[in-house]
Amino acid sequence: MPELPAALQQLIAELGKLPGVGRRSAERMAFALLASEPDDVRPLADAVTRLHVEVGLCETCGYYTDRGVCPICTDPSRDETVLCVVEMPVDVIAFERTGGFRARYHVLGGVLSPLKGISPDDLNVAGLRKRLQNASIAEVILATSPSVEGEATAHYLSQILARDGVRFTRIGRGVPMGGSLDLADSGTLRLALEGRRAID
Amino acid sequence: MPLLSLRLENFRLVGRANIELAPGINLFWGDNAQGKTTVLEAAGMLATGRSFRTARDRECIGWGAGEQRVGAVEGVFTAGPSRHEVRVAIEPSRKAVWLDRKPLRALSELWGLFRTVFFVPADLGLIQGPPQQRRAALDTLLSQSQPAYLQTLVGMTRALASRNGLLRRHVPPTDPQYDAFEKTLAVSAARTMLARARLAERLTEATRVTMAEITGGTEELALVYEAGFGTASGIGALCAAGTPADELAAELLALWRRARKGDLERGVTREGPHRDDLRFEIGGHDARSYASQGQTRSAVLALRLAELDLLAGLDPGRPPVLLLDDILGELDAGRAERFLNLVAKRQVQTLMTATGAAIVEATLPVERRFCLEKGNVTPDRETPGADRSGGQ
Ligand SMILES: [Zn+2]
Repeated sequence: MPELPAALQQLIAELGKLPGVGRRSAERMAFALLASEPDDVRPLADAVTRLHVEVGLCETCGYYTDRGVCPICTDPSRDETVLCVVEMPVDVIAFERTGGFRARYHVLGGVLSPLKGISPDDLNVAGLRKRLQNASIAEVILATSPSVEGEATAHYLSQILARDGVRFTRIGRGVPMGGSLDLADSGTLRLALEGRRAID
Repeated sequence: MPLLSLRLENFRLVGRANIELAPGINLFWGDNAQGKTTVLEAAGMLATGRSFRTARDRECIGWGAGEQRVGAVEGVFTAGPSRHEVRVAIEPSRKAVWLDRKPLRALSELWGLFRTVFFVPADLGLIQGPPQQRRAALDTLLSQSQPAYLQTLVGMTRALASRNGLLRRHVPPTDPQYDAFEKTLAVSAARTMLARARLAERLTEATRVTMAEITGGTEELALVYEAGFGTASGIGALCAAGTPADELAAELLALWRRARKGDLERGVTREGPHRDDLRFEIGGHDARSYASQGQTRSAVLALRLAELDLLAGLDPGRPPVLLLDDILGELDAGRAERFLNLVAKRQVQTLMTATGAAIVEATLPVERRFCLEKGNVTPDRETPGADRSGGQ
């Protein structure tokens, strides 16, 4: 087979780097884009270009936002007494999909991992500590994944952030072992929230 | 009957083979290095997703795979009333497993569906060899009988590696990260250790029967779990006493906290379930130093038969499949014959290899026979040449 034109090759290579996209799918997508009208492709190109310019992380909680502070943090109808600590911004989306959960979030940006060299300094722990100085927070739900690192991170946070008047809880075992939150369906996650217990 | 068919594709030196198995004893015979063990390896892979010969999966990809570089094993087996299909495909940098055409996310989802007990020549070094071989024997049996065990074991290994990571990075001993990972480690370690200790007891009971069968009642075998902590710690005694898991976890937690400074000097966790061992005692003496070669061979065979009995007793509707690699080549004729008779008595599906067919058929009711030559598997019924079948 003769070599494909350079631009096409590059697009296939770039698409192939995306999660869940194999070589074959990348080729199909690239050929479909090439087959469509230039005007139909432009919105996709624009969206990709705008992504990093416009979307950043909320200054308060670390969730995706295109303002300084995200709409969840500024929503006055949210329960100010409950803070749900998660690993990644996508986990916020998983909790929001359960519907009816009206707490605020704190995104750590990962979990402790001595194997990968991720220490507390690499996570947004300082921001969490600062938020806990707000006297209205009565419960912190540690919703890190049920992996070894997720469990250890929950233990770590409950130990270093312990203070009077704040209850630390862990989401129940409804979440599949070793599974990540964004793979859990909203029913499972709702059960996990209902089954939360005090952390020892 | 458990394994109905086995299919190999570019798996080591077997380019392609479709093997229809009999419910009884299946014999794979041929000269050395023709692919006999490969067939057994493939059958074992359906049970665990792993090879019993190598930890490097890519070694299993055959040369015939060409540019695609995929080696695969497929099998159809029955588990109780249901029928399942497993496919394991190995590529140079990854491995994928499908159960009933659905991809599995973790190998642990496979364990326990189709169970095997195998005897390989390397087993003869089990008693005197390094402890990881004996831990692996315990872990394999536990993972096959209770799949949750494998998850706990994987978690424990990861928690231990994480603690070692902190030690290697010289994180000071007062850092709360230690508490966090030690808590996670203690919970999984307590469960792992209690399960191993309990299994050693059950194996001792089961080998009382099988050792008597193999030696004609002259030898007594006991398997003793040795916790990977010094005797002074009292952990071994707690495991033997069947202490509740949370109490044992609290003890382990205290021990690891105290060990931090010393562990930091060595850069590694010195004591823990990763140092566990299984002691074989024959006639009350430690077989590592006191047993004869004949005695240790009998003890290993008794252990494998005991595993077979334990797994069969666990779920009578799904007896395990026995894989025997070159047992005649490794054992003296008398011991091998006695063992094969005991295998026949148990009436489980067996896949075995031998260089000649006649000597096996003289002892065992072989139901189906396959000849192996340069990776080709041919069902055969002819009497093999006398020169090949002669005493090995
Ligand atoms: Zn926010």
